[in-house]
Amino acid sequence: MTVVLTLIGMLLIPFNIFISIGLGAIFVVLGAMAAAMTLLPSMLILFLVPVHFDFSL
Amino acid sequence: MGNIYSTGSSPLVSDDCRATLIGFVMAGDFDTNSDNIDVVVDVVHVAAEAERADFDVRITGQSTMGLDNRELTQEDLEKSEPIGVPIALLILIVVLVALAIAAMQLVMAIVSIIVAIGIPSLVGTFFELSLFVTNIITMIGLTVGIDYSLFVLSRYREERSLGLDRIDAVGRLGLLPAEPLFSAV
Repeated sequence: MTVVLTLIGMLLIPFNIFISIGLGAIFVVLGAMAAAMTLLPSMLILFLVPVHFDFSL
Repeated sequence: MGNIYSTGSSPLVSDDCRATLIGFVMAGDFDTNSDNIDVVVDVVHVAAEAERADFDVRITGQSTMGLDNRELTQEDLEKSEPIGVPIALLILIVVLVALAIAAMQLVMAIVSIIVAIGIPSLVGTFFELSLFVTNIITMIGLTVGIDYSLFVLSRYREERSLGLDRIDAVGRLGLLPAEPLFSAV
């Protein structure tokens, strides 16, 4: 969310390139957020994910 | 069309009389020109090929540069994705020591990229968007998609290490310790 707020600053610059980059980044951050909140938990339930690793040699 | 033979104006010829400028104005506005310019470029390229022995024919202008920009953006995108995705997968495998998780992170990144590429096509009907939008989306989508799923995954591992089973652990993702998760995301 913080990322989206900061990217809104990019929309203030009245150049097409800045507005486009800002909008694109906002959409992708929102999409990634929604996916991380919904799709990832459901995938975690569906697939076996290893939890513990023994890093001691 | 204006050239040295029809107008006789000297600024169209270089000082050493070896180069000349042939100006032309395309009908329509910038948008229709951008759609039509590839025909013009093709004609010029055919002419350049035919006169190669005597003349070196080049074309430039706003629409021509736009066309080149479009082609370069497309090429770079095609070049960067086959490099970026395997490297991301490799690093994730090394860091997470598990292929299943690494693949899951990449799926997350790709899903967010696909979603985010769809939205600008809607916005683009009201508002002219720059071509860089696709580059930015793939670039940021890959990083941010992997990043956010790493947050969620570390929370999940935390809950699992407390001895909860899979469904309980996922259910607890949204509980109090997860509050910093949402604000971080």
